Amino acid sequence: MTLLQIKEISKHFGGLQALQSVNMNVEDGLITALIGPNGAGKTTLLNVINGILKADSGSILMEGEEIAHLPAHKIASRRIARTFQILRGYEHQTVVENLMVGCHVNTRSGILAGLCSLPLARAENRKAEKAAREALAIFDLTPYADIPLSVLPHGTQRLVEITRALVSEPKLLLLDEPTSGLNPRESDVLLEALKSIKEKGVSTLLIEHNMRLVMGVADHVNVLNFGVKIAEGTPAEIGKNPGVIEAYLGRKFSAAAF
Amino acid sequence: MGKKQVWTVFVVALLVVIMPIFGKYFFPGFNRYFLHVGTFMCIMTILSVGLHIFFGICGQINFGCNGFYACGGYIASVLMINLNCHYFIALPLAVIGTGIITVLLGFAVLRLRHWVLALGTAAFGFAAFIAFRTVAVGFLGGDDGLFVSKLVIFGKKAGPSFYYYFALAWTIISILGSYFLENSRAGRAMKSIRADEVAAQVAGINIDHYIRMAFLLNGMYAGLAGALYAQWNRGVSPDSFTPDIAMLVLVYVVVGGLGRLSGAVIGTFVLVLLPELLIPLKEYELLIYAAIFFLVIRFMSKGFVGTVQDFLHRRKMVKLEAAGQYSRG
Repeated sequence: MTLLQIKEISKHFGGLQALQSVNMNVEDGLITALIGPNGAGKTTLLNVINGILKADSGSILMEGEEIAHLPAHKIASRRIARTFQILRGYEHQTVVENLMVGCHVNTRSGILAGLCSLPLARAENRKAEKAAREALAIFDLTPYADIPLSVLPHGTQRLVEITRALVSEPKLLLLDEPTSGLNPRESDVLLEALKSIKEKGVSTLLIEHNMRLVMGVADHVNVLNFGVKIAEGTPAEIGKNPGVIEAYLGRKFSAAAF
Repeated sequence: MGKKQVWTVFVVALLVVIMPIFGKYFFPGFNRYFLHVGTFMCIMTILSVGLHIFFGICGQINFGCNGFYACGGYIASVLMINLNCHYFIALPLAVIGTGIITVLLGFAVLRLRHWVLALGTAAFGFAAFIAFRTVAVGFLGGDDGLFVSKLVIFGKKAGPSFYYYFALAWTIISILGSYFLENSRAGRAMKSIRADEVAAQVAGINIDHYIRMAFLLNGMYAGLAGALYAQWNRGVSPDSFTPDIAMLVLVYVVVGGLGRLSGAVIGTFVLVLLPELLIPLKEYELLIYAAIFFLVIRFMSKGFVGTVQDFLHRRKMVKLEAAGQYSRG
């Protein structure tokens, strides 16, 4: 079944056509990768899905419902979580507080409940903190639970950010270059985590330059080049596609990998 | 809160509550002075906790606190003088009235962000100051302001210690409100707006809603401070609500440690007390504030409280590192 359908999405910035009639599907329960050279429009496409940018034309269906016209926070409440290429964590807050923000879409208490510490607000606090502390185990972050994010090294901060996306119990997880800033050991941890996320039934749309990771976990690969989708298929098919080799992978990589 | 913090709060609370009762018998002269400074400190604390919600938690700048403060004071005074309202009715009405003004202002200025928002709110602060001096002079008293008669409760005139305890009670309620808010879903949403608006939206946070609400709370806190001031000061005049006040409150919040409730409270405490200790240098008050402000910004950008907390956290990281639980990879 198709979870997210992207139909004929176009977006331009001034004279630059960032996306040109892109069609793409994210299948339920699978890991879909989006690759392509720098400036191909991968992050732009993610921003359009999130509603941070509005597409010029085209439509996006989440579980069959149109979401392209919704504001960003409404799209997030359809259980689409996201991490960014540059770190956008909440530096002054501790790791646990960061993760608790991930529970925002799962809870509903408002300003007044918070201000007066009504039972609803307190119950939701406990629920959020429990979920956050349990999620620490995914990347072995338990020792850093009560340390502010800004004190942690870059790689650990990224893992916190991915954990925060997971705390919201998403149906669709959008990861924008999750391995940037991770060392090889941390990348391996991430690879395993992606597999276990898939086992839990969460679908993932992954932008990644680390081809070892993409070929290792992706079920389906889409390739963008200058805002146009030039290929899609299984990792093996993509590795042999002459157009993709020309535009992105290079002959050396595909000769070595396949 | 840890055990140590609970004890600190308890001891401070005991001191501020016991002091006037104790002082009344042993050093009456000093006691009057203590109550005066104490009441003023409470009012300023409510102002800075209000700003802390909008600026410290939600990350939006407000240079117009004096405007809301003035609205609260004038609304309470007008209600008491013209409508013969009792103070205990005028106070909540002043808070609500200021809230309504804040919401209306919010429609205009909250379309702005960052420094432009600072200018927009500062314009409101200046405009309110000038308006209360020049608009409806017959009604609002112009430069002379309004005179409020002494508060009578059950046939007894309220003294300085009543105003002190009344303001103190409201200060504690204000601080608790902010503390609860910070540690709630809404507070966490506001903090994430401060950190990154785009990331907050993507996490499902309706940023316009929370910024509007934080602004409303800022206005209502300032309105409360104004209403407390109006009765305590036995009236209001534009001179009590100069744009300087907005700047002072901003300095309190930043010097104490922006984004930290304890920072706002400690910053207000230190900087309200400082000129009292330096009475011979009273003329240079603002100059000294400016010097402190720049020194803090330059050398301890996280304020008094933030610098201490950061030091403690870094020490904890070093310990973790030594224990081998953490590696830079």
